Amino acid sequence: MEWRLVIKKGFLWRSLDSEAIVYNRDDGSTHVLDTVTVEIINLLAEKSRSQLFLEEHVAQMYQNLSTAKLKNSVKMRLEALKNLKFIETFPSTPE
Amino acid sequence: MNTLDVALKTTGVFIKTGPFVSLLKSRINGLGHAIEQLYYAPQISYNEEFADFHLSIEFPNILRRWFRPQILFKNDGRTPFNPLPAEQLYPFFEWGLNWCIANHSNHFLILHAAVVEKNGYAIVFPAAPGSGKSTLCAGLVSRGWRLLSDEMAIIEPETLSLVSVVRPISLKNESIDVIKAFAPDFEFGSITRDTAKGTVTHIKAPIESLNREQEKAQPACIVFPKYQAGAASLLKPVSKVKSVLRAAEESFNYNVLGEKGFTMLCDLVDGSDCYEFVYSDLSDAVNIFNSLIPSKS
Repeated sequence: MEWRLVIKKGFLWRSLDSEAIVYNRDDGSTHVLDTVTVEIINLLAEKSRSQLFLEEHVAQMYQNLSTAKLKNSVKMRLEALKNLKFIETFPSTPE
Repeated sequence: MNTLDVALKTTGVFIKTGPFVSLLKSRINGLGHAIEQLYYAPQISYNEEFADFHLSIEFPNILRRWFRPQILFKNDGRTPFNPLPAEQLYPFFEWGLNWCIANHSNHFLILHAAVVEKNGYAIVFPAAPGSGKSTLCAGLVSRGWRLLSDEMAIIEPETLSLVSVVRPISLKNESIDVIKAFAPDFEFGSITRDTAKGTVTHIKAPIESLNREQEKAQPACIVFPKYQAGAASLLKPVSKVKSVLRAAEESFNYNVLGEKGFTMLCDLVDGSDCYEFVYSDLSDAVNIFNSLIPSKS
């Protein structure tokens, strides 16, 4: 299973201080997100990614985080983005 | 009947407020007097080539002229509001003009906010109705701050400059007596009771603000005010992202402008100091905002 961006028209984001604000071009909504979440969106904007890939990427940003906390942190962010209708899961093609 | 009354009832009167020109007609007695009281002669004209808004305030029908008189506000012949009691004639004009500017000026980003400036330091006070924005604005203006607007921050897209639209300051309920005590030299209009907003009145803007109306200002500070009876004055920084969201909530056309609105609001906030401000004492408030102005050294 992989995650992919649902937004068709794309999004804008701005980093202000240590937080980020994101504008969804599809519906005009505006959201406050942390910079890790924005990094996840940016990765998914390039192409669909597995949760494992995203965890590994975030692990590089937070090298002190335990594996359990890291997985939980990514999972929470993905769920939040799913609830905001930014991303969705889809079955990846078997290789 | 004076020239203004005659013109209102016939060819109309042009009212010039910042970049907006309104052509107003009305056969109802009393409007001319209120306009003469609260606007300055240079803001009133009888002959302009163009008007942004074509306004009229009339009785809806002959019955409502005599029986529990009501009035209708029209913009380009359309009636955006339900009729109001005739006693609310002047406030209805001001509210109608607010509506016209807020809904027909999408070449600007517009926030529901007061804007004042002193020594080049401009503060935008975005706030929901009833938060004490106009009271604070009137208090600051009475102590030498320039009034750009009591009701709307009008922001140019390219420069983020704040455009001045000098109009009477609107006060309601308890704030009327507060400002009468704090700034007795202000020129107050008549009081209208039992409106949807309670008791309302207007203050004539200082002539110094009108004389500098052509001067735009660069925003230095965004403050979200809140009047709280008995509270000690407290100015507290707010994060930039929260400020973008709160300012967007107070915008008339953020959603209409789409990503242009998002970019403008982010730029505006990014270039400004952002605070929330709780107050109950106007003298304290004035001292606090005076202390924010950078010294010229």
